[in-house]
Amino acid sequence: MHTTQRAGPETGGMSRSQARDAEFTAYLAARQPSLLRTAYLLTGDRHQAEDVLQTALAKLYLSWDKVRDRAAVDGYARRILVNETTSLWRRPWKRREHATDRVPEGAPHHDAYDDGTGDALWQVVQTLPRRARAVVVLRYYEQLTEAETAEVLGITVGTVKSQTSRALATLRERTPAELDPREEER
Amino acid sequence: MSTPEDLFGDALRARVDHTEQPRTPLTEVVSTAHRIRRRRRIGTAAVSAVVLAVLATPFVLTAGDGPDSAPAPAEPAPSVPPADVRLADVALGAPPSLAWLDGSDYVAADGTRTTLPFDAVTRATPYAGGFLVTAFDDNQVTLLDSQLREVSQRCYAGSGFAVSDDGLRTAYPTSRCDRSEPTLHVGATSGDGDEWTAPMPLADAGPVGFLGDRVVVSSFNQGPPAVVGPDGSVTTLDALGIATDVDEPRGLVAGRLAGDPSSEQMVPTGAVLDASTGTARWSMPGWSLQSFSPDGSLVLGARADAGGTSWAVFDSETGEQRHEFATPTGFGAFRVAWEDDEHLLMVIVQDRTEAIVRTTLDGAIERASDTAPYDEDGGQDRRFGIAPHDFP
Repeated sequence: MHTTQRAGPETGGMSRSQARDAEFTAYLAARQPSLLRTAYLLTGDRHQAEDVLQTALAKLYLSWDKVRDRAAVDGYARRILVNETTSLWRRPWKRREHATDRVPEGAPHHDAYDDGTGDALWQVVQTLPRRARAVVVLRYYEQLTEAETAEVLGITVGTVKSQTSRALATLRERTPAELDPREEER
Repeated sequence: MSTPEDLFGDALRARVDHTEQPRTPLTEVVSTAHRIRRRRRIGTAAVSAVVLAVLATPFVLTAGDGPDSAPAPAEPAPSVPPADVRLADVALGAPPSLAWLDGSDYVAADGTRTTLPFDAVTRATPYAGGFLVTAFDDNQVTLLDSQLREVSQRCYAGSGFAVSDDGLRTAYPTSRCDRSEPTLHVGATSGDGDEWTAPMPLADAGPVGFLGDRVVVSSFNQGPPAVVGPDGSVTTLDALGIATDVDEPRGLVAGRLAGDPSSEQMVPTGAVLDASTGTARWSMPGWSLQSFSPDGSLVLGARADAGGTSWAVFDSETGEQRHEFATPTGFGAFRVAWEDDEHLLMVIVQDRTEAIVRTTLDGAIERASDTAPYDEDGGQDRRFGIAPHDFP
């Protein structure tokens, strides 16, 4: 979503707060489903994803007036989301839920080639360290560049590269040989 | 031919892309936002799994005077913590005289700085001639050699490094990346000597301190804490729910009494346990015990409430309260450690600013570091830490 007009008295006669709420509501409508999917991939649990997303959206709402560049809202929202996911893990007084492979309601789509490969890969993702998992989700699901991923996570591009490399190594180590494209070259 | 990157992306999209999700309406988002805003205004900061209570003797601020110039005795005062104390306005004193973290710099007690090759270091401690390091948003512990080259990197699910009183041995936790098989490692801080390992009896556990050649381990998710020996022997400390520190010479373990606090009141009971008998020496309802003073004669307790955090210092053997003070309203204490037997260092966050603050046991403060910006929403990691401990 990209808007350049900040809420103000000139916006259709609405008050500033009404205009802000209208703008934020439009953002929710456009981006909430995608953010929830990302939250699920980060947490591995539907309910945790909903909790994390609700808190992240609330923090985004509190900061909405400070986000001057509306084109950067998505990056900002993702950053809050990743941090909320991390906070979930760092709360010592909450019993930590192990990531499960429960899927959101509705059967996941299986392409014709998927003979359990997808499930095996998802299991790999769920056992990755938190940062590596966030890098994988942002790079390969959100399709962010290395630089964009680094900015969202507040880390260097070098760390993005090294985390990606380790995740791919883990993938090769833990998935069937059939998944290793190098095997196909034999 | 699909690359591994393609396979990752396809697997993730297959997992979520074809599902319908309920949508959170604006009203619920706004309601949550209001709760967050109220929580921020209160400025509550938890230093452990503690909530709540009563206020104590107010904080004595001696701007311009260091703690070494004996502050005036606190007079009886209203039970309201000082307000409108800005972190940046607190006088700057000497830097910490124990090891601390300044971003990715490990600063030794003598001031020597080592820049560690990580973003956002959360814990670091010398080990085997190099360093053990953990970083923000990453559940791995990395061993670096003396040239700061990575020797190994392993997952862990617990927290904390523990160093023996004589400084010669260091303990740290690892696990498999699915958090199974928690393992305790103990090795020589300087690098002379072998490392021994033993299974930990608790998931998500970390070392808290040494008792001779054994290590006390504790977990926030499971209890009771336990003492693990190099032969794999395990002795549970059933009187405690959580252990927070160990006084090795006296054989005392500080922590929280076993038994969940009331779900309504969430008021814990701090306790000091005699490890030789396994029984509590004394307990103190409402207080969370943090750590023993370097000489072991005192133990620090904390209570968090709406106005800030109250602190008390107790005789470690009898529980007699020796000192009590409160931090100013809006000061969130994220880590506290004894600098010496008369001073504490605290990582303080106020609004969007953080600093290390030094306090006497009567509450006179000065800053021990410059201030640095901190933006919780922007995800900026806290800059300061007090090694080898972690950010909670």
